[in-house]
Amino acid sequence: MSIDAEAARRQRALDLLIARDTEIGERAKLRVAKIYGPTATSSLGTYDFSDSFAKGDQVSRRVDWVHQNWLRPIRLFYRLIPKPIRFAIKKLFA
Amino acid sequence: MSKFIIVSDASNCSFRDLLNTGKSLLTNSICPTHWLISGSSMQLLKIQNHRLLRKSDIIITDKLPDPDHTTVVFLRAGDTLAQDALSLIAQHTDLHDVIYGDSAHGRASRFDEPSKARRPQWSPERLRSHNYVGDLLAASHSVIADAGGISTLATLHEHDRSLRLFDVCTSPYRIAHVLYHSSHERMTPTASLDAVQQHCARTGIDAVCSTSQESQSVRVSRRLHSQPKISVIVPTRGTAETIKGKQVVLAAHTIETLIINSTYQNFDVIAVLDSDTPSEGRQAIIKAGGDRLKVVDYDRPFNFAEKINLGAVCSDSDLLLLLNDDTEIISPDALETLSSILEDPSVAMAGPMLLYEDLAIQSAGHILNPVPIDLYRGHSSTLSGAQNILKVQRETSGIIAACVLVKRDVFEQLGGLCTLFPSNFNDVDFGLKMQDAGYRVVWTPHAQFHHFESKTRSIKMHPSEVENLGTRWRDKLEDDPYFNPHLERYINIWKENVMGQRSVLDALGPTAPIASK
Repeated sequence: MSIDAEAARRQRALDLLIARDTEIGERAKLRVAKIYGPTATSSLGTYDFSDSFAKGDQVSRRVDWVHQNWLRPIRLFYRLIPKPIRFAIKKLFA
Repeated sequence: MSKFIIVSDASNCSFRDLLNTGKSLLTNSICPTHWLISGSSMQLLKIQNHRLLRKSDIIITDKLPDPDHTTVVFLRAGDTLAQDALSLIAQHTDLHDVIYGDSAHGRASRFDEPSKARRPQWSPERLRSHNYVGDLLAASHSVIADAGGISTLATLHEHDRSLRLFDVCTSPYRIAHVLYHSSHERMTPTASLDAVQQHCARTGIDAVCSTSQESQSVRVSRRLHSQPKISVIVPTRGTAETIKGKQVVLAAHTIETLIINSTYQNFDVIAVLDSDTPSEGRQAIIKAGGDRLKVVDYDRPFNFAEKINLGAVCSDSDLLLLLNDDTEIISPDALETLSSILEDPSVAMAGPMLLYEDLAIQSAGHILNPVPIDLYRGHSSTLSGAQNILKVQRETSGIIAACVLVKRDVFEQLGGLCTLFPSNFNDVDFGLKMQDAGYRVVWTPHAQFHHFESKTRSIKMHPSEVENLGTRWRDKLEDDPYFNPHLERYINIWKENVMGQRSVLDALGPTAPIASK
């Protein structure tokens, strides 16, 4: 097979793959549009993962408040107070 | 309203445990009609005469009631049913014939809730490895009859019982809700080698089964009847990097180590080279590939998906191994393991465990939560993960395209990798296309490759790629069948979405015992 003929064959095969993918993609888009409404497939509408689930609702994010700078002296003070008092405070807030 | 028969095997439990189970039946939102206790006539008699249960409407017996139009629930003696478990099961008995759900283990402490075993949806490959569905199974009377009847199933090992029920059922279902509180603190699923061997014989799977003591699981290795030719597609631009302290051309190193170390030798290599590949890099690749190598030039702007597609159309094998240029085979029989998984006609893609150079996990399959994430990325490969998830072969929604074996006919049928994703998510989209077409994607820890990607590399998410993924697959991203809605999202471990150290420890799995103890 000549080089040109081989290149043309490859291009045809690649175009066929793209055509199949487009067909599957369109079907998938219609399914999503049926569930979420037409804006979900609009070329102007933007999807972001946080549209599905807000990152802030995840619990490990919520504990970040203890690392805020203004809490540092309070944390230092807490660590230095006697153990029984520390445990009593812990128990109270638990 | 659904009628329920509860079945418990009392042969290895105390009276107190059995009584706890009985009390949970009394307080349930739907009262079962019968409680079948097998294995101990003494325990049965004591329970029948107990003041709480004597006056109840539940018929406690060791004889078989007529199972017509009832749902049979297998519950281990000692485990307690969640108060709303039967009503939750009743909501799904019309559409599904075998139902399982999540479970709670251990006691709550002042700071932590009890551990919860969160389970994925129906995963047949994983069930062969261990009884991931847990100890509570609800099945319709017709499935029970087809699987051998109540009396036979009641006395079987739980793994055997699960396999027999799932062998004959048509519509299994997972309820993402705690259905029972286990008396066992340990959440690791059990496994029975005999049960898996019998299952393979029943279902016509020609395989060698072996146990792993380390993870209490069974490995099912399908026999390879032939070694079909594999085309290894390596997209590259001839980059040179330092690997294990040595400066190498990445693609040349990948190809050379595959040729030298793999025990599967029926493969050729298609290297898809960018036009700006330096000549020394090109020469190194040609030298490493030898007469197996076919070089295909790629002269367009970078598009990973298109490079892979180009490699595929230039190959002629039945199987395609998509392989990044920064990889190295670890298990010599990795290609045998992956191709044996593809012997199953419903499996179209199989991927290995990928490890960084320091043996930390690079990818153990994708989860979609909703961000596509490589499970346990960056964690030690010695971890077992939640419920031994890292030690067993299982279905997943996708596998990183850095190393994955695909059936060629399915690759072509699905249009290859989507070129709308030039950098990221082309593998995620491809996995979801497979799932949509009804094929299964299997990840295995029994085949291992290195992936020398930088540990600190963070994926640059292009908004257009995220948008394309969302417009095609938003529903799948929000409800990955191999995830559980109660797990924490946006992280790469199988962790309950609660605060507290226990959930993190449960996600990492049991740690190795300290040698001095």
